[in-house]
This record gives sequence, C-alpha cells and structure tokens, in this order.
Amino acid sequence: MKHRQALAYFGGAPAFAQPLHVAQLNLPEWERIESRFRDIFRRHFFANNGPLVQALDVAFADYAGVEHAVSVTNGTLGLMILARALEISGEVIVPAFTFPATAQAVAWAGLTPVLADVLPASHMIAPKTVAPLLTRQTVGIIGVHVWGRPCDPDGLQAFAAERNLTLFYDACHAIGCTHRGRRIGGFGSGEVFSYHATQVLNAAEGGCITTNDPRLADRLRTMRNFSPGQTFASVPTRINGKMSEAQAALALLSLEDLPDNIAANCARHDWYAAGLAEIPGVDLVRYPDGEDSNFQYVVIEIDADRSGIDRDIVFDLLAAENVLCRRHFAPGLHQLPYFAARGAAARGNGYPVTDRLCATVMQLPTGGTLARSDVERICHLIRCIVGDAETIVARIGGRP
Amino acid sequence: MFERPRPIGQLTAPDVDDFLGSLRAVFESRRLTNDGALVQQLEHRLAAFHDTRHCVALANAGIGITMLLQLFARGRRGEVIMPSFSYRGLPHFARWAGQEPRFCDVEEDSHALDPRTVEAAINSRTTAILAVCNCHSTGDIAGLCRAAERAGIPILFDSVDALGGTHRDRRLGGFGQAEVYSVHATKLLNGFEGGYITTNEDRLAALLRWQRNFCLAGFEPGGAGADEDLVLGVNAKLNEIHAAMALLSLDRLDETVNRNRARASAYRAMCDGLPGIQLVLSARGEALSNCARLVAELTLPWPLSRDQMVALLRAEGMPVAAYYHPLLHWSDALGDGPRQHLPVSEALARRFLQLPSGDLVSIGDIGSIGALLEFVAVNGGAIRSRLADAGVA
Repeated sequence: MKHRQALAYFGGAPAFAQPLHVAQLNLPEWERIESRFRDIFRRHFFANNGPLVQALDVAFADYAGVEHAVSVTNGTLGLMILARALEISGEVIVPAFTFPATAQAVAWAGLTPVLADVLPASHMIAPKTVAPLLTRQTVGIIGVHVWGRPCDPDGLQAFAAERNLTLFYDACHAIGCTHRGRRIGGFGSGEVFSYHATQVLNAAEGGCITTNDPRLADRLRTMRNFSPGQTFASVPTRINGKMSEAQAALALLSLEDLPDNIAANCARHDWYAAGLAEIPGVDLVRYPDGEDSNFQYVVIEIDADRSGIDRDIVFDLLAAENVLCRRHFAPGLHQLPYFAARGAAARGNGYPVTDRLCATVMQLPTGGTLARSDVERICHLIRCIVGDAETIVARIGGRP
Repeated sequence: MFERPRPIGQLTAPDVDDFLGSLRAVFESRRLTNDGALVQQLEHRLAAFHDTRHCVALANAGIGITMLLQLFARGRRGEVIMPSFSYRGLPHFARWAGQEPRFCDVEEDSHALDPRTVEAAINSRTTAILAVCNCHSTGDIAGLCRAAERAGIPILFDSVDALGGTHRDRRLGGFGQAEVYSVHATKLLNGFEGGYITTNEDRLAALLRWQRNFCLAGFEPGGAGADEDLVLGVNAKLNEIHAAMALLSLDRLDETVNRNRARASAYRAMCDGLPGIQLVLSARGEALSNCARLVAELTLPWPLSRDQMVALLRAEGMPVAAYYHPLLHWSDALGDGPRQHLPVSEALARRFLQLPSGDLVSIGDIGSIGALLEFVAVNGGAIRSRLADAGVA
C-alpha cells in the first residue's frame, strides 16, 4: 500500500509521470485517416453537405436503428436546432444535473428552461421529479441519458403523452446504448448525440440529431444550413449547423471502430469494478445488465459518511498523482448565473439530490490510452486514500 | 460547356501533404479541440493580420454574429438594424439571439447600410446595428460608427467578404465593437468550416471566449461589469483540424488574392467589350478587394434579365447564383408584417449575379465564359424568347 507520506499531495512522487484524463480520445490508425483526407482533397469538396456527411447520415441512422440522422457542427447546435424544429413555445423541463449545454440550447431556441431535480439512484429526471413543476405553460421535457444510462424512456414517454407534452432527449453520452434492447436514438420526438473528441465517437467536434419523424427530419435538414438547394420544409429560422467533410471523415472511421472501442471501455470498467470493490463509501455507477452500454464514463460516488473523506479531498489527492478526475456536473444548473437570474430554479422544492450528486460524484480517467496497470494503480490509490482517510483528513484539516 | 462545375466559391486548398503534416501533429498530440495549440496560433496570427488586440476563433461566422447579438442585447428582446440587400442568414442570427431584424436601406454604390437610414431607424428597441462590408466596398464605416456612437448602440460588422480590405487606410478588423469573418471553404481562407471575431475590446473578447465554451462555471472572465448572468453559453469552438487548414490557407493568402485579381482582370477585359455587363470591383475609388467573390451588374442594353442569365449559366455547368436575392425584407419566412419599402435595395435587387470565381476557375475558363457572353450579346433576342418560352423571365 502506498503510504500517506508517499502521496504526492504530501510531497511524494506522483504515481503517474504524465497526466491521465477523463476523455475517450479514440483515434483510428493514421493510415486510415490519411487515406480519407487524401480523398477529400482529391474531390476538392470540403463542406456543405458533402459526400462524407451524407454517408455519415446514412451510416449513423443505420447504427442507431432510426429512420433519420442529421449530422451537425456539434451536439449543442444539434440540441438548439432540434428544440426549435419541434415548433413548441413555452416552458421545457430540463434536469438540473446535466451539462450546461442542455439548458443553454433550450434557451437559445427561445424556450424557457425550468429545472427539475433528479433521482438519487439514476442521476436523472423521472415523472416524479418533473410533475411538481408543470404549469399551463409547460410544453416539453428534455431527458438526458446521463452517463449513457437510459433516462426512463417508458415512464417519461407515458407521462408526456398523457399530458400532451413534447419529449426529446439529450443523448450526448449514449451512443450505442440500448433500452429494452432498442438503441437510444429513436426515443421521444428526437435525440441528439455528440461526436466531441471526449466522447466514444470522435469527430473532433460534431453531433447528430436522430428521429423517426420524416417531417421533423425535413425541418432539421433545412434548418442546419442556409442553402436554397438544401431546403426541404418551410422553417422560420435556420442556422449554420453544418458538419464539415473533415469531421465526417473522422466520424465515419470512428463509427467503424466503435464496437472495439466500446469493448475496450467495457474491459476498463470491469477492471475498475474489480479494483474498487468493497472500498467503503466508494460506489461505482453500474450500467444496466442485459443492455448495451458504451462504458465511456467511469463514475464513482464518494459517501463521506462511510468513506470518512470528502469527494473534493480525494479529487485533489488524485490530481496530485496526475490522475485528473472530473466533477461533472458541478455546480448544478440552478447555481449558474444565467439560469438563476431568470427564475429557472424558482419553482419546486430545491435541488437536494442534484446538490448531493454535485458534491459526491466524480469521473475517473478512462479512454483509449489507459492500460490495465494504470487502472489498477488508480484503484490502489483510492483504496489507500480511503484506508487512511482519518489521518489524511486530520492532517489537512477537513478540506484541502 | 463545363463538365466539371465551375463554382462561385474560393475553394482554395493547400498542398495535401502540407495539410497531412499538420494533421499528423494534431493526431499525435491527441488534442483535437478545446482551445488547442493550432486554434491559439490561428488567433494570434489573425489578430496580428487585422492589427487588433483580440481574435476569437469560432465554429463558424454565423454563430459569431449570433453570440455578439446575444451579448449586445443584454437580456432585452429588441431589434437589430441590418441591410435587406445582404446575406440571407442575417435575420436568422438575430432571431436566435432573441431579436427581430429591422431592415434598412443601403447606399447605391457600396450596397452597405446607409448611415442616414440607420439613424432614422434607431429607436428605443434597437439593441445592435449589424452592418456588412461587401466584396467590393466597405461602405461608410465611419458614418455608421458615428451614428451608433451618437445613439449609444453597439455596432458590429459582418466583414466576411471584405477580408484584407481597408477603410481610410486602416485594415479592417478593429472597426465598431467587433468584426466577424468566415473561414468556410468557399471563402478566402479555407478552414473547412469556421469563423472568427476580431475586436479591440478586452472585456468583450473575454466574454466571447467564455461564451463559446458553455460559460463554464469556474472560468468566468471576472473583471469589470457584473454582466455574467446576461451571457448565454454555447459550443462555438473551432476544432484543431479546421484550424490547421485555416493556418495553411493564411500562409498562402497573398498568392490566393493575386490569383483572384488575375481572374478579375480577365473578367473585366471581357466585360469591356460587352455593352450592358460590367464587373463590380470597387466603389468610391476604394482599393481593389480580395476578389474572392466576383459580381457582375447587368444594365441595358444587355439582352437578358439577371434570372435568365443565372438559368443560362447554370445549364452550362456554372452553378452561379443571383447576388443577394431575394431581398431579406421580402422573405416569406420573416412573418406577415407590413412590407417595408426600401427603394435603393429594391432597385438593386434584380441587377446582380455572381460569376464563377475561385481556385476552380482558370483564366482559360474565363475566356470560354467570355465567348459565351459574346454569343449572348449578339443573339440575345432569340435566346430571350426561348428562355421566356421555357418560363424563365
């Protein structure tokens, strides 16, 4: 066991010479990238719904098992376009525990985000957390498949249908994940994925909107650009949300590699599960049995009552070892100035679960470059820290 | 006439091996986005090029205009003054920023906002003036800035078509509160997709950098002005691959402009012998522009209408477009409000078309286009009748 005095925070040598990050950063072999880009230059076709974007739209729709996939600049612009294309006006329920872009996109679309607390086990909204916030102005709900776990598609769909609310999804974490054996992508009116470099499918930046509604797909394809030749529906508002051929080239290669990258993530997650087993107060977020998951996030909750140590202390101790964890999604959206100033958090009974998750949840490094031995060392560090929690906390006075 | 289309965009490209060299370095660094080294380098070089304190690289120019309009509105729902004879995206950017477009008339020679019409349009709901510097003329930047300053309203310039241009011997980039540029593949600098904002205002630049990356908590710009709760975050980041391309394009900027000017000269020589068609290259004795976009004006005695010319050239393998048509205040998408009357814009609306330009058009191609135009000039009456019979007026 690494002794307390040997921890880098207290002056020891860091466990890792180079920083480890929470990011997938999956890249195909260079030769395949080179070949795709030589083709782009040969065609002299760089942007504007080029052949690779068209191929990606078809390939991703096929992968996600949906009728339509519309590639876009990034996931946030995808959410903005989808939210506006739904032709709704009023309040939309948004989880308080999500990446800021979910609520920002709703606001950019001219809708009013109203923040809902989440459930402690799922980290996601559910009819129970949404119901108290409904008013006559409520027109929609945006669910977020946090960490790639499905956001109660059955419960929310029934709840929304009964009340004539539009349900749509931020699926940025959920490429390749299933619910009852069906791929995420076809739930609600539409779903939005991210191809950001830190996600399991990497187009540097990039995103995609999926739907089974052909009329909505026509609006989405029209809204993502200003070209008269790419006009398939009458829409009041358009934007430049076009994906480039460079992004599409990378995304197509990454889609080919997706099964292997997911399998590698799954293995890393298993290593973490083994390495973190029975550390008191350290609970690994599990992915649903019998479903496909992409395992792109390794998420733990640190319960200070049982572990004897706060998440933030563990975070700092690991950072000193070059293990750079993340604290998604702290602070909760209700704390962000833009939303707080606009009453997005004024309704309901506060955000106790979101606040607790923001104080206890963190993500551990994973992704293409992390070896089994790295995972084992990270787990060992966490076990040492928790094992020596009392002395560490005493020494640093409670908080770092 | 052309089997492979002769487009109207710049579509310049660096040597593929040079690009792959840059891409390889990105690949090896595994840093593909999030304010990477190449984005920073691009910003540094473009700020130097424009002689501005700041350059903020973005996913595209449109999102840049949208971000600026959102910032300038300071949480209000109001109006943005903009030209109607201009790029079709402008009113949409205002809409995304929670604003309504307020169209103003332009000057007959520069096609840019007329300061007098702007002053007349400014009212208590005005949140910004979105002026446009055109491909042949910057317009009356000083007059517009004076009008904005007198009213205390922010002004930004869409300078996408005017990159490299000057106003009163000062290079564009630092006028108004900010200027917006594109590095889209069809523009002078090719970064696949992309754009950037130039400004000399430190606080504005800091807010834009924060805004383009989701206004993340813990990264607030701080400093003067308790205005952070007015900023709506977004993902407007430029990625490293696009930045790599734009940097190589910037290296070749002078060569690209020289080639464009050679094309412009060839077109001008061609037009000199043809009554009723002329190349619109500059106004008011301004210096020659970057000539990435080449626009022709049709007047009598040219025998065909602008729309007939567009149809004719398209059929010959030239996917040309009418220049700034339809007028934005005529657009059906913009609601059922009373139709404004903008006499200068309406007089300009049917006279201009864009000609094939950019790196996929050779001087030889322009010779072929010239021969076609001569044929049209000589046989105009018959061609006009046949086009009219086919329903093209």
